Amino acid sequence: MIEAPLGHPVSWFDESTAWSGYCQQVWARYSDPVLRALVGRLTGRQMRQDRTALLQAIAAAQTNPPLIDRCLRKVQPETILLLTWMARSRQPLWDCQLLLSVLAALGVSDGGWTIQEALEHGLIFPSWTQAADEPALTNPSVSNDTGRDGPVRDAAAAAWNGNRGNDSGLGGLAATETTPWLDVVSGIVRTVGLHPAVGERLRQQRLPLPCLSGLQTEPPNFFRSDGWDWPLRLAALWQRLRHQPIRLTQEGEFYKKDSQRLLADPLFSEGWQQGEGPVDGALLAVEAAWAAGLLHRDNDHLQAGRFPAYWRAGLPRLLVELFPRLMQVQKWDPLSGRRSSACAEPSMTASAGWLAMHLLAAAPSDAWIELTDLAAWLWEHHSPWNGLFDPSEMQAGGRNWLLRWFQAVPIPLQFADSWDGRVRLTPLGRWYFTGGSLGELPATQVFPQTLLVQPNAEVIAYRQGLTPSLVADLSAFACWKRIGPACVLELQEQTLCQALEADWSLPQIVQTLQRHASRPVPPTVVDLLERWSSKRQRLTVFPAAVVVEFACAADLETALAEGWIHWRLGERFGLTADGSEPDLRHFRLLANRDYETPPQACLQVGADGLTLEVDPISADLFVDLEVQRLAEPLPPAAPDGPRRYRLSAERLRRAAETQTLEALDAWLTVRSGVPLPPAARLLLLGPHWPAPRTQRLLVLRLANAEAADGLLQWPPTRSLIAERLGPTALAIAPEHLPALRAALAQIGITLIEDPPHQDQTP
Amino acid sequence: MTRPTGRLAVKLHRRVCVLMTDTAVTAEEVLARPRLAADIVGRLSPTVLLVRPGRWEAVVAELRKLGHAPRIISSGPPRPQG
Repeated sequence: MIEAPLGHPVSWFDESTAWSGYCQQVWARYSDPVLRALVGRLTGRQMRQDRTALLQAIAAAQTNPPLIDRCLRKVQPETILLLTWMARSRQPLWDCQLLLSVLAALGVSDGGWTIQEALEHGLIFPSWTQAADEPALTNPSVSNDTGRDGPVRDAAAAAWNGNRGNDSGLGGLAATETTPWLDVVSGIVRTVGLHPAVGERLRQQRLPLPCLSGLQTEPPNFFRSDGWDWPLRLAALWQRLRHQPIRLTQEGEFYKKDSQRLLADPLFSEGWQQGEGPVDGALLAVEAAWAAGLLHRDNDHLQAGRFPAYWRAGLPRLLVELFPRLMQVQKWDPLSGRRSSACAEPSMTASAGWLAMHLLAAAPSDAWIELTDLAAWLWEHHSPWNGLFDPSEMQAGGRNWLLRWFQAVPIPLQFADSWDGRVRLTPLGRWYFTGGSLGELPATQVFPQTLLVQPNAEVIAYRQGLTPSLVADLSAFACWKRIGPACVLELQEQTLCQALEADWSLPQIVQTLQRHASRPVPPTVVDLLERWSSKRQRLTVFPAAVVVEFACAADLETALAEGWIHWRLGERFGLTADGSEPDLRHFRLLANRDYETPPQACLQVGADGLTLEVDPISADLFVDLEVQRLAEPLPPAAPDGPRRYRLSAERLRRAAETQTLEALDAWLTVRSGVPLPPAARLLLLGPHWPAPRTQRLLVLRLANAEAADGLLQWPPTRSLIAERLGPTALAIAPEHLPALRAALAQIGITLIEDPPHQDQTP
Repeated sequence: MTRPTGRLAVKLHRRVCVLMTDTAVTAEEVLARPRLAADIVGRLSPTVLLVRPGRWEAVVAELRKLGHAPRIISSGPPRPQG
């Protein structure tokens, strides 16, 4: 599969200016000498201007028919053949392996050299796609970016030199220099592109394919698809992945759980117009939806994107956009189903398919071509394809392979008719391969009333009245239940909510149903939708809002009255309608705070250890809520003073029921820079400590610390000392006073005693 | 913050996850669910709850499990519309 360059055109029918812009981005990666050489070959002039002028000159040359025609006259016929193939396929981006395979089938033995010449003349360009910048969905072997892969480039250069001699001028190239064709050869770039404006110059060229003959008749019972099989299933797959994205392995493969979920879904295996659907149809649908730009990759998940713009055009336009995308799908085989990335010749299905379609295009328009004739040509010319079958079953095997392939891709897309084992191009297919313009696409009949909304909330959709735009809309708000001649969808609460989340409104949904319903939408269904919708009005989540904090309530009132703020959040806080940043022309920014960053210190602890003061500039929304778990609000010290709180025993203890002391300490350390002060600890832990008690003791004051040490050490006095209170103060029990006095007298020390005083305590 | 002359002085709180409810009763319902309450930092007003940074997807998932269909208003890139 071609991986679409992100944000860039992929379709032949995209605007030429879009392609020119993308090409300029690609060429901007070229080294200066390569770029100047390319300009010289493409324009015939040696320009000395700066790179910007060179890029503009190349872009202008690509849309200048005389210059392109002159350049085409200078290249080899094989290069013309390569460009003709790309142009007549109306597919701008091509996998290089697929191109080499096709060129070999067309008789070009040295396809690499052909690609090189086209690149060196600026007729094609390397496409650095998503795969070059991110892990690939299909090919993990693709490395990074534009040629920083020195060993790969060196090896490729050596191999190229070996094959081609030294005439390509590789000798002077550094391994790190960006050389487009070398990046292609070394596998760093897997995709090359053709600017549609260049391709238009080759529309009239013919491919060297035989004009196969077949029965020229108009049978009454041949099969032609209505074209809806793939669009309906791609829309259903988009819806399934919107609800539940697919996870991918590192190799870009599906996990078994996702594969089984999709393969068990009858939408992808049942209801095909021809009866039998493709093998592993659900997995082919994923590849097709990815190629069609309905999905995008987010890391290791594949999820629903937006419906591309071409879904808003008519069905024929949708089909001609889908056809080349489905043709490029590589990891699928009509007989064996999904193939892994590691399989040999991954581009074989695509190359054989394109060749078969070009063979049909080369045949007379009314000739029914036998599948066995197509198989025989492929057997003879397309070696990777004939490796699929044993020679003894070449005819039956090849025919069966082609039958299943036609039934999977061109017939459902209304590019081929089938009749009795034969195929031919439909008018749409012929329009495509003969280079018709968009204005010549067949107009489709419009039946606006094609829905039937039933009281049980099921919606019957008749295929003949559907449009791609209606299918995309229905997929947004109703669940696909069955795809068949009449499709069944169901209005569900979940899909309705997803639609409302995607900016649909309930009136829009009801109007869509009413506009396309053949009978009025039952009132019970409208009531149901309203009830589901009203549930959604109950809760609104702003995942990353900008909350505006005003200095006072009056400022908030002013902002609300002026419409600068839409939502009121409390007394001083507001929000714009979508939670985005307000228009700062109306506001003076005092501070801002980002809540994805860690919290800041914004509290100051008072000297009493209990008062907390909030710094209004650095405070965030959470700090007041957090602090109120531990403290009670205090009136401000001054009218415009900061908010204050006081830690209270009750709140501290209540907080401690759900948080540990360490957590409280950590919180206050983050918010104020200090842990819980002792006063707060006393409030919190006091009741858990042993009860304090009073005791009557006498204080013995000594002249110096030596004297205190001596009394504590001397055995006659040591037992009389209750406690040392300080360096020169000891406590003794009143009843030990006589013994102490006597002991001191023995060593000639007189104890001076205060006169006894009256005890006033009860 | 002081009252300005001219433009209004404001402080911006960026990337805050806000859960708004239609009534205070709905907010109480949300807070009554332990798994939700654990991710709610607090109430800015009776109908406005603040969600812990980085937890909004878990909150939305839990609300959906409870049968709610929260409206998500994001100023980021658009979601698939169809």
